[in-house]
Amino acid sequence: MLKIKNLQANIEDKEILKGINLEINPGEVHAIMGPNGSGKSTLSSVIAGKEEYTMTGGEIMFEGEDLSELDPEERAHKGIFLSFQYPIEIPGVSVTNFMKASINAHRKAQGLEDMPAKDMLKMIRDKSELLEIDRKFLSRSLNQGFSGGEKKRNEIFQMAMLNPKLAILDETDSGLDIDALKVVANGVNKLRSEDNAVLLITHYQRLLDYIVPDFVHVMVDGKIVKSGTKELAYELEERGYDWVKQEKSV
Amino acid sequence: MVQPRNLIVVGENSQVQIIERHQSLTDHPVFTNSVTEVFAEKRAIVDYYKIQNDRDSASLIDNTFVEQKEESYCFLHTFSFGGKLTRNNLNFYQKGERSESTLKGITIIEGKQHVDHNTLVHHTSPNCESHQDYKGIFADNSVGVFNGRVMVDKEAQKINAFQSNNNILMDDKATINSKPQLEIFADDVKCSHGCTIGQLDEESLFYLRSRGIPLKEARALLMYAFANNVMESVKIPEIKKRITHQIALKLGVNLGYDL
Repeated sequence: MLKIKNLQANIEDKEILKGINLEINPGEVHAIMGPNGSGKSTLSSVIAGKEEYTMTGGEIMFEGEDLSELDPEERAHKGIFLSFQYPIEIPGVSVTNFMKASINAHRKAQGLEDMPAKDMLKMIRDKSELLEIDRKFLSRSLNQGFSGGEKKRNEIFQMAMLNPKLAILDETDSGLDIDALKVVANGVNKLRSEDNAVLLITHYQRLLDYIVPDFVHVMVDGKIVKSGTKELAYELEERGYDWVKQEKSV
Repeated sequence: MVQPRNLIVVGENSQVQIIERHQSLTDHPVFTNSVTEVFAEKRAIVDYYKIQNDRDSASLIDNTFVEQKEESYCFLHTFSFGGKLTRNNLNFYQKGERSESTLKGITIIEGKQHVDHNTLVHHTSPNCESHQDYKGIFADNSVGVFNGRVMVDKEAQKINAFQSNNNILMDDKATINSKPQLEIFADDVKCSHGCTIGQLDEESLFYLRSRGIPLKEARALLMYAFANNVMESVKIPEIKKRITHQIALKLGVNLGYDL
């Protein structure tokens, strides 16, 4: 599904990604862990197509297609979804209207008519129940005045609405208390299928208790230095990142 | 050339809603020089809407004077979406305690259009409030002016006066001249003024685009959101619907207004 080969990327001439290799197949859950500043969030932004970053080498292929020349909205239409670490507040646009614009933009890209209002409302109702979101919440301005937990829940709600092929969850667990974490993880698990894949980016092993990954990668200084199964996450939790760094320099 | 003159006296405890619109029917050049006086007596409520969406050949100079007595409330919304040159001279005189004035405006213009907002709120009595909130979106070579003055006399203690003017410039050649101004002679008041001029936020654009909303629509949606919070204080649902629709149309954004 997603094949990343020797990916290098800069922001304002500062090299952040220094040759990433990663392959994700349908049905798989991958987790990327690593210390602050190792480039985890940069990787997710580059996959989603943020223009601040310049790709300086390597390639990103999604279902056999080169992503590097595509706009963020085109990548979204292909089925890539990024759950933001810090969701943006947009005063004046309600969650419902935002979702409507988003869904209909996806449909337009597929050559479909706008979704009838009735179907839209039903879908919004179903998906908001899945994430235990209050109806009142949907008429509020997007992310404005939302608590940390509400923002993250809202991200996963959007994911449920758009049903992406590849969901990248950038530190979705940060700022969540344990109850909110369970709701969010439960939402993600219900959305998993044979055909879609999840890329989790996290600092902590905690999230991985609820969303169990097939593979765990450790990223240090712009490179994936170690890959393994979920046991690797426990080892990291216990021993910190230093031993990976040392192992690498030996 | 047209020179309308309106005198509106709103008696004690009475309420009025007024919608004012100038529309030329042909493309001949038209110049309108309009004068309106409003007297709001004790506890009167005035809800006034000015819709300025005339043809490119029409110019309008509007002079509106509002005098407010005790505990009167006056709301004035100005929607400027068209016309060659539009100048709004709004003058509010608060002459009674606990009166409140609200002046709001949305300006969305393009081409060579020019819209000028010149406001004055003169507080002469204590315990009063005034709110000003003007938003502008300027494309192409259009020019906007906001010159807002708040005067607080020495006797007018315990005043709350707020003034804000936010603008988005869409093109390099679009201009906004903004001059919020406070003249305060009392020593126990709460007054603030602020003005911002900017482009659309890149982070917000990326957020919308990452959800599949194309750049053009994402920009339109953000502008719509920016302008639309002025609409919250519009009390006539039909006006609200109509203006919201006009804003959406002008910005090329397709939204469900009733959801």
